Amino acid sequence: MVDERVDGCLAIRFYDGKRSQAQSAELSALPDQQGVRVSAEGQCYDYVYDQMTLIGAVGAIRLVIELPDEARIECLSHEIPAWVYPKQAKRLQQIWRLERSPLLIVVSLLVAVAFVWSAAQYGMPYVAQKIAMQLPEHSLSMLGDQAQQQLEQMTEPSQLSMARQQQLRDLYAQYFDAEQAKRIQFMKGGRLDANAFALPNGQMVLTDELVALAANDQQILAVMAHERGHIVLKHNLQQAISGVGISLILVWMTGDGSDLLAGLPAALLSLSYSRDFEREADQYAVTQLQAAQIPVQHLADFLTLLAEQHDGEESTEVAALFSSHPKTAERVAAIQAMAE
Amino acid sequence: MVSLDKQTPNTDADLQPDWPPAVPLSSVQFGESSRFEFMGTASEYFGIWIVNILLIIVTLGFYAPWAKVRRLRYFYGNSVLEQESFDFTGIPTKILLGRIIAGVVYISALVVTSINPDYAWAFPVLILLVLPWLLRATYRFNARNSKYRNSRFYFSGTTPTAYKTYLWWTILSVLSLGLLFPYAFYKHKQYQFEHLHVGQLPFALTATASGYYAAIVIPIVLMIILAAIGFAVPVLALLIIPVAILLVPLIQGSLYRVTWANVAIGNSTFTCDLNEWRYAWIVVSNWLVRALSFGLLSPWAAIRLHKYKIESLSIVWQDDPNYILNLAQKDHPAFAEEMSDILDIDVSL
Repeated sequence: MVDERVDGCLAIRFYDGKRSQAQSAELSALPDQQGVRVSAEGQCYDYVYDQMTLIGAVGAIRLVIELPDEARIECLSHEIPAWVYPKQAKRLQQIWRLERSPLLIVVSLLVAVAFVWSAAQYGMPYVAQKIAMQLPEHSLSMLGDQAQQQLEQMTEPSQLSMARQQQLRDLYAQYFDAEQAKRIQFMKGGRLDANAFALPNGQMVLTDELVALAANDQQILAVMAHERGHIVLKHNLQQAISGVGISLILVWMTGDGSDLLAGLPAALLSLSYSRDFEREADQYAVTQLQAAQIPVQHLADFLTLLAEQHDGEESTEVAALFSSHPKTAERVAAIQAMAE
Repeated sequence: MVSLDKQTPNTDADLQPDWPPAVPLSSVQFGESSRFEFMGTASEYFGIWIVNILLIIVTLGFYAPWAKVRRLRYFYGNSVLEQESFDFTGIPTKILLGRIIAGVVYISALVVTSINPDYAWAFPVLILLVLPWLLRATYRFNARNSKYRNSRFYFSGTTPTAYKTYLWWTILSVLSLGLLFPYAFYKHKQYQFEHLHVGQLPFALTATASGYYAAIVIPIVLMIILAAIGFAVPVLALLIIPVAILLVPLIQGSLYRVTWANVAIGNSTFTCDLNEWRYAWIVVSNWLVRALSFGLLSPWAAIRLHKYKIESLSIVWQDDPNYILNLAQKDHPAFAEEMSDILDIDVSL
């Protein structure tokens, strides 16, 4: 091998920019220390630092200096004397070392995993909540109208009498909110069964099956208070913002949107937001029920009724992990704790 | 100043002891064939990949263009032909500008479509309209920043030709219910290669449209037969699963081979012995490995696929690689102009 370090000189490969064949050359500092001199085949080429573009080493690929007129210096070693390019070379060398240090690779790995996890778990929900509260109420009304159409396709018109529907709306208006009362709809759930929905456009939908399942009207009021919580706290909007945010972070990090796996963690995490949302809506309902002097126990009782009807569906551990509603027993206990 | 009067041991001697050689050894015989080599390793690339991610996090994403350049330089620089490697010389700040523009477009599209899904159609249409321009800009950027033996690549395709190739042939292949798609793909490859140069040597695509029809139709017919067997014989019903998974990688592998086996550069020709079944196996097992490792083995998967693709290529020399002169760039009068073109940025989404 050629000796790479002669006194004050560095052995390099040099392209003169005319031929596509490298020459063996020597690099030395200019006497005024404002640049470098390449000596190749009896000829000298001087370059000042401003004309030089450094391209840092990557792995086994060594540092390269691009020069005017398509000339180019290729270093033969990873050890670069400081005079070769005083400003940038040090930082480029640091990155190169970082990429080869096992300790830093492990640290990078831990930081990357911790970052994605905490951004998804805490960062985005927090930011989403702040943004959602700033946005006007009807921000998602178009999306809500679409969701409502989809829901109407999945269900059939309510078989409750108009009088019964109006009775429940009036009851809600009397205890809680007259404006929201106008935006309560009833539908025959069919395979959706006993269920209630808070849509992004501010509509609240209850199924006939839910009304039939409730032991009394206070239980229905409690469910309505819970759904009203989703609407007031803008949970739909928060979820939309979080979803956008997480996908942005992943695209930003991986550099492209084509990653097959990018969507998966975001989808799983969005399920756990909705569990937090259920707890928040329960909390909201408890406060409202207490203000209206309706016993909070009605909410807990109805949840238990619902769970008994769906018996078996939530029994396995996996279902509990991935279901958007927290385990009923946990929720009932939490509601009772809130009530005290 | 570093004192150089005492000999420091060459710490990277263990990396690749005699490569690159101080003086080029290459003197190829005409008619001789040289195979491409890929020197990158998964363990080395893992460090680069994960540190890129760390620095992207720490800099709130602004390191991403530098990360991209380092990643590309790793893949280019480890691709070796006749003991000389390729290189990528892109300037990260230009990529950053492109990314910021792309990011603004992406975020506004997401916001608009999540507030009002009625406009969701507008974004894909907009993308389709600017795509030919975008592709041409990206080819030009990538070509100009690619080097072999210090000779730059150069892409001379024009924007009108890009629109003719991409918009026109996309519309025709949709109108023909996909029957013209292989021909459209052939036009796309023709646009890419017929306008590419390295030094003074032009690339040429000698493939015919029938080659592309075969590359797409044969895997489809094979898979239809397999699926038919699966439906007809209940015992073999499981055949339908590999059919669904293998079809796209098989077509991709066949298209890669039909293209590269028919590329000429100057008087020299490329050959490609990629096997589409092995290619499909690598692609499918890569998906599996990445999913099971939660993405952590992505660098291993990327190196594995890239190595197979690069090492399937050889070149049969009819020109001396020592004389891919750089002077040729002065023959393109537009070259200097192109360098300062403000729109000449990398916007690869």
